[in-house]
Amino acid sequence: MDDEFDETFDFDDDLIALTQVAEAEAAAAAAAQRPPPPRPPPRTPATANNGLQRLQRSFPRAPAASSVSSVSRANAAAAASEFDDLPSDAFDSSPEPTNQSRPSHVPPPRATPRSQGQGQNFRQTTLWGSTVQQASVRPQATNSRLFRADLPPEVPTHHQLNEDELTTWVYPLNLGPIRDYQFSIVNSALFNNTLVALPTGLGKTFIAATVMLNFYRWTKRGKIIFVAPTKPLASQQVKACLDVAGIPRSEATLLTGETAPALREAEWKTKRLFFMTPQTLQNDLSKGYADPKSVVLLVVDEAHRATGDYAYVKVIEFLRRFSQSFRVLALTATPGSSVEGVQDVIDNLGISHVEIRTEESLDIRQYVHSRETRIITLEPSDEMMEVRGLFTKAIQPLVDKLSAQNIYFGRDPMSLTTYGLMKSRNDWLAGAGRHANQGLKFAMFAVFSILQSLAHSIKLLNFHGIKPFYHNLLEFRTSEEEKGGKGSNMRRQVIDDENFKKMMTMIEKWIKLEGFSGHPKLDYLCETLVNHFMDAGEASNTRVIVFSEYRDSAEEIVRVLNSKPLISARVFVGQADSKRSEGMKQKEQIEAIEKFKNGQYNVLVATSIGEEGLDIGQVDLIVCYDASSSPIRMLQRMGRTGRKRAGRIVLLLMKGKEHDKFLEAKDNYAKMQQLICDGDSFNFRHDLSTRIVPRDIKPEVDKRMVEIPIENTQDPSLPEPKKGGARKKASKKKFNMPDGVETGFVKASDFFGKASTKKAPIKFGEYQEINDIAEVPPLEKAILTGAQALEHERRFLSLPQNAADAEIQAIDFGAHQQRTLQSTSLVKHGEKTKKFVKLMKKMGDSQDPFEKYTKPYGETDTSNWQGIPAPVFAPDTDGSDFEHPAGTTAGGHNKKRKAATRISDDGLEEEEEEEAVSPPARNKRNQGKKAPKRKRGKVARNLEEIGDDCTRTSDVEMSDGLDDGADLEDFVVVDDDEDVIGSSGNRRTPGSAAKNKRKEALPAVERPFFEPMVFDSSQDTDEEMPDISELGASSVKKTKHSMPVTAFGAESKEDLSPEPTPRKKKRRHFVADSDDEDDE
Amino acid sequence: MADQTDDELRERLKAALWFSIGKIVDEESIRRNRNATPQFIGALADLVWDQIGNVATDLESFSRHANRTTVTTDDVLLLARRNQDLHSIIKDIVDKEKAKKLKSKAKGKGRA
Repeated sequence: MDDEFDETFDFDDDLIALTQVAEAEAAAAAAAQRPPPPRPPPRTPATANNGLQRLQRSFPRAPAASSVSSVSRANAAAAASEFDDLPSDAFDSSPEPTNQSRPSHVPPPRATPRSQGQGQNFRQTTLWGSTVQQASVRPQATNSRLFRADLPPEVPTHHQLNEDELTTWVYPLNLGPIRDYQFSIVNSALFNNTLVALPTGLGKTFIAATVMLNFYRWTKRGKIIFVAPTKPLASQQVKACLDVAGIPRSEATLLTGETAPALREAEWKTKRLFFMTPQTLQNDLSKGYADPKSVVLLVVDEAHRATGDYAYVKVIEFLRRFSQSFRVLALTATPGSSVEGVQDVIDNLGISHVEIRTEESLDIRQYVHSRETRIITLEPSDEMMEVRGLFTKAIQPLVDKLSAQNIYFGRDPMSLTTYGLMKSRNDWLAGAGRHANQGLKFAMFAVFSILQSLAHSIKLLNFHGIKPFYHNLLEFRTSEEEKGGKGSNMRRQVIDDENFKKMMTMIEKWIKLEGFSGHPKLDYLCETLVNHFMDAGEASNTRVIVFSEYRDSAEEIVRVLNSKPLISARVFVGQADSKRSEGMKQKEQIEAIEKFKNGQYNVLVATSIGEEGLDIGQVDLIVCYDASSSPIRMLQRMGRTGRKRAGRIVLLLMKGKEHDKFLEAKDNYAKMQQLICDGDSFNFRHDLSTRIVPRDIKPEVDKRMVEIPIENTQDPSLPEPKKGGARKKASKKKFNMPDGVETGFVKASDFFGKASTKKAPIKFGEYQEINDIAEVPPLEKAILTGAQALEHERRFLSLPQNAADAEIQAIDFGAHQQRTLQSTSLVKHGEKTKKFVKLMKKMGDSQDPFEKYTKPYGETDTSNWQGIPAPVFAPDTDGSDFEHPAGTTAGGHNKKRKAATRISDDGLEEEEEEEAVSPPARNKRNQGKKAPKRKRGKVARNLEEIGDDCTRTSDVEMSDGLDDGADLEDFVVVDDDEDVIGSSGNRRTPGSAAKNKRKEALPAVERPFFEPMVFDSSQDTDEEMPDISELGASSVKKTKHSMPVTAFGAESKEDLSPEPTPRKKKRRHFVADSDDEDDE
Repeated sequence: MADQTDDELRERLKAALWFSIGKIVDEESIRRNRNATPQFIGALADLVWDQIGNVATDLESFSRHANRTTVTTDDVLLLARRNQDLHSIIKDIVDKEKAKKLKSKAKGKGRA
């Protein structure tokens, strides 16, 4: 405790009580400032809520019947029927029938992705609304359902949530009426990591935008990232998202590999909505520009790519290392072609819920524009047959070589494929070829490699036409010829083959012919396109996309098409350069699409790059020049049409293998969709799907028009970061650290010794104060109750009636009390007290014995003498006589005397002068005191010897001197007597007073304890003394009282008392300065 | 309560402090056969109020210095560091309390 405290009080045992009160108060004050003690669910400080929360955790959707979407209603029904065989009052204490009909315990819709058939699970209710008992029918799916309660409690999200906005989620109506499937998908995507598989053109972007909007509202600083595999796709989504969601454009940015890292870094600091390519995101994350913990929503477009080592997978993996609390929304039209593939996507993205719609799904059928698909099977042309025949003969020797080794025997060389060759090579190596000698092995490998390159040529011939085939072989031949004689024997063998040469010259001739198409597909394609544009008419803005697998054939198609009327075609290929043509830079690609959109080209011939995501509304016809074996790619291709109006698809397939493959792929796909819809064969990652929104908050839907900020519509350009003037360098790589990690070097020894103490300062079993925090008492308890307040008022606030004028004797804590340690009862003195007392004692020791006991050190009446300069009076010795009166009267200590004089003399003048008293006048008096002394000769000298008390006498003289002029010592005593008599005459019986005073004054020297004080009070009551308790004043009085003694002694015996000497010494010591002044 | 301003609340708390100090003083004066004027009690209450304020800010800064958000007995002991005697008295109390807590905890464990 601070010592000022125990110095001030003598109630030492109270101190403990007080300290305890203080302690409690302080603890309360400190406790009020810290957050409420951490309890497991942080959003519910009141314990009463805990029970409720626990309930909600076990039945997460319990009271939110209103927000249960139509989708989960099927589950609700399933859940309700599961409870059917329980007694009707199993959950309700009140037997109201209405309670049973309400789906009060609805599981989250995550665990059971619905197939269409499941939705038919209607409840049959009685007239009173209760469910009809159907104990025998039990839906199978419910058995596998997980309840939330089985899972460990979810760690609350670290994102800063916007509490106000959390109560609702917004469904924008800007695009027109609600589509039920979109609504339900959005609703589940908000709370689960969802994989959305929607046929193309059904508004995946809208779903993404809505989810993004809500996470934008819900979090304060969470970052929202939209990743799309290519920059054109990403930039296409920017506008769509901004226009639907109404997120301010200034908060959004488009970051791709083209953006300088320094700019990207700056964008990461300021923006919240990012449209990116996955590679850029991966880079930014690993370089530390982007904080993985700040990501709250990741929208993955074309999510079926999230397999293997693709950047999507890496990004998600990276994010998961740092944060569990982010939502994934995966969008695709085609989730995958096999169960394993889809499971891979689910695993990689941490999907916990799948929303799949096919074109046949009931709820989307009405929105799908009809697409007419025509499959054209074509017979190979005569020219092709001829070429094939010759080519077969040319490579037959090689195939025979294989057959001789029991590989690939008895096959038609025309049916060779690259994949088949590779497979049989591996088979041979693993089986028969394992023990073959090296020479044979190498020979076989050579054959295989040649055949593989030729197999591609065969494919080109079969599916793409003679011309690509010819180019391919020409390449084959020239590369061989360049090598001269050093090339492979077998290659030479093929090239030098008679049939091969014949074939090549034949094709050469054909190509030179005008109007040679080279493939029946090409003829048919031209026919179809010309017809299409003829039907549509000149003015129509119809567009056609032709897909071809190979760039060679794509270029050939463009060449042929451009020779036809009405058609202006443009090739649309990837960036890589091929042997015979340059790739298209991204700029060119975007430009090509732009021109295609506004009609400069009406046909786009694209390779696989055009398959995904391009959103061009007016494409009415899709021609697939070849069939891809991948159903995903086929579906993506088809998805380019029918987006805004009905579309047509033409598949050009060669009879035989290509056709078979297509049918197989189609079949596969249908099967796949079925499997995914059933959902039984997938393991969903519920463990990775946190809810983010606290469980006890159930946002309600808020369907409204979203205001699109003006800035979004004003500037149609992409929100790419502007290149700043001063190009800063990207800052150094930062390393993202997981929570609670210790960085830096750690000595090996620390792992055993220090580390253990550092990590576990809390020894097990020891009492931990921190764990046992006192509760802050409620305010009501601290504050007085009504009765107490009354008592308080009565006892302490109101004084007893006579108390106001009751005189209470002031207790004077004399200076001496500070110089000894007072007694203590419970707590001993503190260090500070002891030091203080010691100091006071020391200071007191140096004091005059007279003053020692009455004055605190240093406080005398003369203390401010030095402070006030009075040069005016010092030299003016002559006029001093006349000035003194003013000075003396001014001296507060002489007032009494003065008053006495007044009484005897009745001088009006003095009174007036006395009114003009000002404290600084003391100095004048003092100076005046001494100056006349010298003048006055012996008396003055006498007085000076005696000391200051004598100066006081002279003071008196002076004051009297005004009356009497130069009469000096004769009047001293008389005056004094008169004064005493006169003044005491006011108070006491005259006559005895003087005697009394002398008696009192004498003992005061010996026993100086309390008398002065008594004097003070009695003497001053009737005077106009400024302050009774002023110690300086009391000291003056004391000297005053002793003054008659000395004055008396001076007259009778000079050696009366020993006191004067020390006193004089002291005076000198104090008035040294003023003495100097006097000497002037 | 919620509509009260801070000042009002402070006054009420002060009144409560005054009241309890008054009671303590009264008891004590009866025990010691002394008298205390209401003015004295009021002055004392004011003094204690100020002292509590000082102690509270001190404790708070001590605990913050120790990187804690909870005021513990350590802080209180630190507060009493200048008065050895008071310090040892408080220390005794704290130790006793701790021992009691430990015992009851052990007991609780034994039962469970």
